[in-house]
Amino acid sequence: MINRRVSISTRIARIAMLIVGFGFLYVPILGLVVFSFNDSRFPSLPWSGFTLRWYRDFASNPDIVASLVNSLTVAVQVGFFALVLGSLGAYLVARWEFKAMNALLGFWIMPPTVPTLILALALLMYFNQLHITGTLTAVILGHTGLASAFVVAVMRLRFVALDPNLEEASVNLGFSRWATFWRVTAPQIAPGAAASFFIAMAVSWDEFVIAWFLSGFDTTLPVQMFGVLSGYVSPMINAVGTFVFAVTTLLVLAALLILNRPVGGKKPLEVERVHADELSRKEG
Amino acid sequence: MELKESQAHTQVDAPLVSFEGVSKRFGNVEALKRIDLEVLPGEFIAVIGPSGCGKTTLLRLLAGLEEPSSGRMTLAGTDLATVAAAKRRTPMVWQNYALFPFMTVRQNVEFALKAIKTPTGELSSRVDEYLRKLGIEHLAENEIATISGGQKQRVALARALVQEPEILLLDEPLSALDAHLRVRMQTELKQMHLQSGITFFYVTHYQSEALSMADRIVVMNAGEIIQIGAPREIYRKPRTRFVAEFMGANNVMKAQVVDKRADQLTLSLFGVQVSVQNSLGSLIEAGDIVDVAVSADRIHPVADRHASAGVRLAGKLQGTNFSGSTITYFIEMTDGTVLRAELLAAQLTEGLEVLGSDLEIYWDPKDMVLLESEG
Repeated sequence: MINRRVSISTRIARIAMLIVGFGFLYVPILGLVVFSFNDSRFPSLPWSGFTLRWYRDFASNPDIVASLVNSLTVAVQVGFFALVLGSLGAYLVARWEFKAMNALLGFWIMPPTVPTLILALALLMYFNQLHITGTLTAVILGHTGLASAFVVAVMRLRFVALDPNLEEASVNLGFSRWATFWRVTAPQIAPGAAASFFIAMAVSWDEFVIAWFLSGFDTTLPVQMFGVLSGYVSPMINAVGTFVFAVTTLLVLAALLILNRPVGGKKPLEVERVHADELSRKEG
Repeated sequence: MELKESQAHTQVDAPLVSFEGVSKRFGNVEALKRIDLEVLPGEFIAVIGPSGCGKTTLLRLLAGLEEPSSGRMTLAGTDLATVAAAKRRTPMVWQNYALFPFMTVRQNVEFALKAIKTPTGELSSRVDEYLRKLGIEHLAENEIATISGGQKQRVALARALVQEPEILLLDEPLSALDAHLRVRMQTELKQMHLQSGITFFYVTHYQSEALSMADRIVVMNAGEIIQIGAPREIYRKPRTRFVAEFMGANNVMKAQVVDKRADQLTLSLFGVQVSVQNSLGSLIEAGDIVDVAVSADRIHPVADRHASAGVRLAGKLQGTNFSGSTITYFIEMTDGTVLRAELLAAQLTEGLEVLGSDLEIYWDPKDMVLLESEG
């Protein structure tokens, strides 16, 4: 905690900035959430009463439910494949001392910054050659590439933070390389891996452009929503949108909680302090 | 600690460890050049040298963490070429301790026992025994992040010793501790060595650690062993200029060999003729320039002692450095060379410390060490 005294005006300015920032980001989404519970055909004020009917519509629409199930199965598989691919890449980047590594890392984490439309178009042409366009497999492959960039970013830091002496110490004490991986390496990277898995799932879960290009009749939830929007607009779409947003939020929150999890029952800062105290008391 | 059966039957002079012509290259860098070294069972051997001299590589080769480029190593008579690192039973104490941060103190020590497949029933009693021996039983359930550097050091030692190995490898184990704690741990390590009978293979770059703990010191530089000997021998009879300067408070001077007769040499040192025993034999001829070392604590001001024999030289007192029990004098000789004389403060006569004053110094010719030329 920062204990510096701040003047009232500074405090007001800070709170104002917070409100403006969060307002800018979340007011539109909040509107979507609010209108998903509004008992009216039209998403406009005044408030006409609370209802769950749009959610019932959503749950009883077989096309929407089918695409939701598709989205979930795609997201889980993307999470898994992106974790494997991204972890391997992160391990290489962290352990392989090689001059062009930073440039390679740059290329690996670039896809999220390429306009998705271009990425999707390129994937469409490429997968056409492989005759897999129009399938969920194509969507999974496309999303895996995109999501693996996020996995590399998270896992690289985990691997860099690993002390290579720990693995050597385990082998030195008598465990095989394989046993060492499970006993020493895995426990240290597990939180990062879990967080990466959730982030990759979130990337896939709400991705629209790639899914729209690569999927066929069997499609994902965002693509299905787009289809609904281009036809008759029902407030049900607000309910679906709220649901998609809630799932994304849960995934990202889970990832953040895991990544910030305190070490050994203590927050990192506390550990530092305890350590310093012990040092000065026992050795001073 | 009970003797291992293999140890009990080993003959006294059979080495526990041997390096035979061991070399190690990393790319174009020759980290070790044909090393020959034998370590006796129960010995405390300290390998010392500046950073990059190959001392840590030697340790890692023995542990199997690196493969030698050529040569042969044996441990208790077994050729190590076919023994994987995990099977060697050469536990190591690391400079940064290498404790597992996601385990408690107890789990760290237990890890070492599980690694050598100790029966589950014995685990907790053996862990307790070693936590007690190292005085850290009260920390058993602590997370590693919450204990101090000195405590981590003890956990690291417990984790290695609990395997009751024949040899313990220590890689600069005290370097991360503050000076005061380091001295205390030196005494404890020495005691641990005497009580356990385990061979200690200790790598360090601190002269004081090697001198105070080791039975034998191996001095290394640039991938080669320069000298092997007991601490007093290394300190008093350095073989080369490198050892003289690295291991002690030695003054190294250049002298010319004026005359060589039987086993006597006459040297010209700061213009004064000095007669010394020729310890270098045929390595040296009349007319050669030779490096001569004299330890700082063997140089005395003439006024301070009433000895008349010995090497007497004139100089100027250029500076002093008081450090409690001793005072170091910096004496400028006629040719500008500055010699260091370390004097016991308690024995010093008053009135000598006028900077710039003439000062006559002397030393016993027996305290002069002729150094072999390097390379």
